Amino acid sequence: MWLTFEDWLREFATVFICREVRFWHEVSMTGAWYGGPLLLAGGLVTGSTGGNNPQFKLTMHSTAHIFLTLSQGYA
Amino acid sequence: MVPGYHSGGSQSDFVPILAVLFPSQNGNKRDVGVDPQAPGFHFSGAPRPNRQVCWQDVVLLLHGSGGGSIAQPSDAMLRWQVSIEVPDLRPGVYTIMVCTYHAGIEAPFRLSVYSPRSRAQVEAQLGTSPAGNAANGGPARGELVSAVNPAHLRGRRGSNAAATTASAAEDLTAMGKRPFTLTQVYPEVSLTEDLPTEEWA
Repeated sequence: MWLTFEDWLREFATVFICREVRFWHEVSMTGAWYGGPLLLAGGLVTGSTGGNNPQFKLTMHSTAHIFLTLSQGYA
Repeated sequence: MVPGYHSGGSQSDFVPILAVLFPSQNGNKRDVGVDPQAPGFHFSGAPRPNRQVCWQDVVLLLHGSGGGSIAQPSDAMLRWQVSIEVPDLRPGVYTIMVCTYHAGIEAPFRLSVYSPRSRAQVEAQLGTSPAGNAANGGPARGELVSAVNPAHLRGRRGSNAAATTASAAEDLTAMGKRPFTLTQVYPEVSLTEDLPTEEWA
């Protein structure tokens, strides 16, 4: 069964595609951006305060396929 | 104006975000002065219809009739999610920096790093291999496991079932270790250990 892209556009407005990571290694950390004197929300990385954004070190012990996600609203 | 988005340091339920990944220029210490043109720099990209704008863990790849409009969540529960995928990230120390599009925003975030497990490890987790059964408290390595078809194993991985069992056991040992470690370096926090949420023992 198939549908042309043009027909799909006519019939649907949204498509959701999920990545199954059930069998993947996962490490998650939560944090927050905030203003104030420390200014942990430094804006874009190329800006003058970009280095103020939260930073993490990812140490690769061997060559591997890496997939990372950043989500807003979990802390 | 994006619904739920506020500038000026106020709390926001919804802010445009991005992530970057690059070879660390400062070892295990904080990096400043990032050069996005440097080799090995990965950028999650701005949220766009053909990028990964997410709604509750679901990736929205196309939004709006004709696919020409940028996704604009209209519900306060909606949130951004962006991602970076690197098929073969080499050994070394990398910096992951998480950013918003505007300085001063106040918002929580969650960073997750994934790496696929080996076939042997997945089989072990599912209990479909001799090594996995042993790891799960089932028959020890070398014992007959009736649920495993040696011919099936031969076809997939080895010249015989015993070799496959040993190989799986070795993989099991090796893949008990994640290929990566994640540590927060800025802001400095007292808890810098990995926080595995789904680590398989």
